[in-house]
Amino acid sequence: MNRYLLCCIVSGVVVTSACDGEPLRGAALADVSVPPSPLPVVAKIIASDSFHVSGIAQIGCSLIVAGGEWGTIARINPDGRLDTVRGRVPSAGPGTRLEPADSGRVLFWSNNPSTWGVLQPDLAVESMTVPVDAWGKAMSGPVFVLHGQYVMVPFGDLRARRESPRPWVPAPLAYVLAIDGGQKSQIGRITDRGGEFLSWAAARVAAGVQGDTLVLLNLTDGSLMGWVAHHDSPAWTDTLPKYFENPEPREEVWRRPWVHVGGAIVNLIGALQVEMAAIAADGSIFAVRNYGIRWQSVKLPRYFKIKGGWEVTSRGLEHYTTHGDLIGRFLLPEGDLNWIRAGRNGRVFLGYSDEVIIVAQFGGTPGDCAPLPERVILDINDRPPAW
Amino acid sequence: MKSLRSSLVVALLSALLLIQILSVRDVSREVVFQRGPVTDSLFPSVPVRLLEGRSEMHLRQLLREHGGCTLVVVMDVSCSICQRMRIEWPRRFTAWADSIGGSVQAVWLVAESFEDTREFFGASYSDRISRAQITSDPDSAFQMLGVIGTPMMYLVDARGRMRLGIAGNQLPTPMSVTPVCTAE
Repeated sequence: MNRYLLCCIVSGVVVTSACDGEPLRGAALADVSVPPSPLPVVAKIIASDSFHVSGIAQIGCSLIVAGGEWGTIARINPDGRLDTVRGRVPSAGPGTRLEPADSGRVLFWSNNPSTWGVLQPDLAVESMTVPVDAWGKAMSGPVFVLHGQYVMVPFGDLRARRESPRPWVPAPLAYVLAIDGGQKSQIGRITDRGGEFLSWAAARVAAGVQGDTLVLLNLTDGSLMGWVAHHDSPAWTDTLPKYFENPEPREEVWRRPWVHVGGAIVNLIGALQVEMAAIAADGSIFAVRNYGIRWQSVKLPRYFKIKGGWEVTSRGLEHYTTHGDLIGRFLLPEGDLNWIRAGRNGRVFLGYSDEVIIVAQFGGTPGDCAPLPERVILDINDRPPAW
Repeated sequence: MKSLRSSLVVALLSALLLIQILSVRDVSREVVFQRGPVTDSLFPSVPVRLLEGRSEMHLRQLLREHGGCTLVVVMDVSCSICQRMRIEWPRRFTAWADSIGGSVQAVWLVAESFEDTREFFGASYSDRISRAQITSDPDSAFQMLGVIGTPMMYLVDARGRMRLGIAGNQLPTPMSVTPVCTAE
């Protein structure tokens, strides 16, 4: 009987409320005592008030950025100057993400509304159909080119909460898209965890493509999988080092009977090994790792049974090989980090809420692209389309 | 005495272990609130004042004057999604309403001062959207209407019954609306 279970039994109350205090450690956990290095920042991209960057992709030595309420797309030229050409993707609000493709193209996707498509080198937009998935919804997610086909990972949108259907319907982790917008074939399977949102929560992944392999990193437990085309099981699996034992995930779902759509208020009680991650084209992984957790009690009305949640005590950025071997550990700058993206040749982008994107350089061949100016100003006016 | 004490300790530990086991199995819990509009019943009414300068009236009277289905939309002037809706919706709602095949109007409600309401709505106009200020206390009006955030939308049929409640700005699907709005 481990220490976690024992302290909960002794207190005789709900499992998760019994074990506050120090973060939990088990015998097989990795050592987090090695001090982190400073982040190798080479530039900062400062956005305008109306244009908050939600997506970035490096094509050659140029950067394509997406953001704002109205789906504006812009290009930062290799010398750090803003190009005058603009694009616009369908948008009902902020949150468009970008993934690099091939031949100078970029793929965009969003669930606000659910959409995806292709940005051509001249920023012309081709919108594609988001297929209705096994759970009856057209949900978009990170999309990649894999072996000449488009692959979508709907559980890669960490903001798009998914309610499991009851009775349970099996759903894939990712699928290959057909030309007509439907699903051609499926990759992997989601596990039924019970409840309404627990299966989605446990299935959240960061995704990327290395050559002909789709790499999926599960954020809850840090497990890695490499999928190649036409295979029913992963070609390889690995796991990132673990720094704490995951507590059992739980949920409380609050509903109003008069709200039929969008009314569920969900309290998910759990902890992620990996807060977010980016997988570069060479397969290397940049992961924001949680190093410890503690129970944080919260005063809530009496009808809420679970009065608290797991709070992360410390966090850092770690750089791994494709198979989860640690290369380096780095300090993260202060602030609310919203997203992380990997560019080419060791370049990594960290998107913060205060409109600054930090560009860090991890090795690579810097001579391949001219260095960006220390500060790149995005003077972009995101406006509604003229109807 | 010793054996009695040991038995009691064992019994207590067993009971605690049983509580533990039962608690561990309970990974999901749903709480349902009961106070708010009731589906398929008359939609609650609050006093409103139309932007077009009419005197106060009750929301129920306005819905009756519309005659057909009404999408009641509760907004807030500081809500960014609402600010975007007032720009997009005159065009978006009209296209959606045309696809329904029945008579569908919209009422936009804001619980602010009349001047702030006029300023918020001023830039947008459609002859199928009535814009109005809620004139009673906002907290009690929102509680009566079951507003949990903004925007909130309610589909009210021609008889004034609430048929669908939506949190957010996603228009209901034509498949869910057409049977309600073309049945009368």
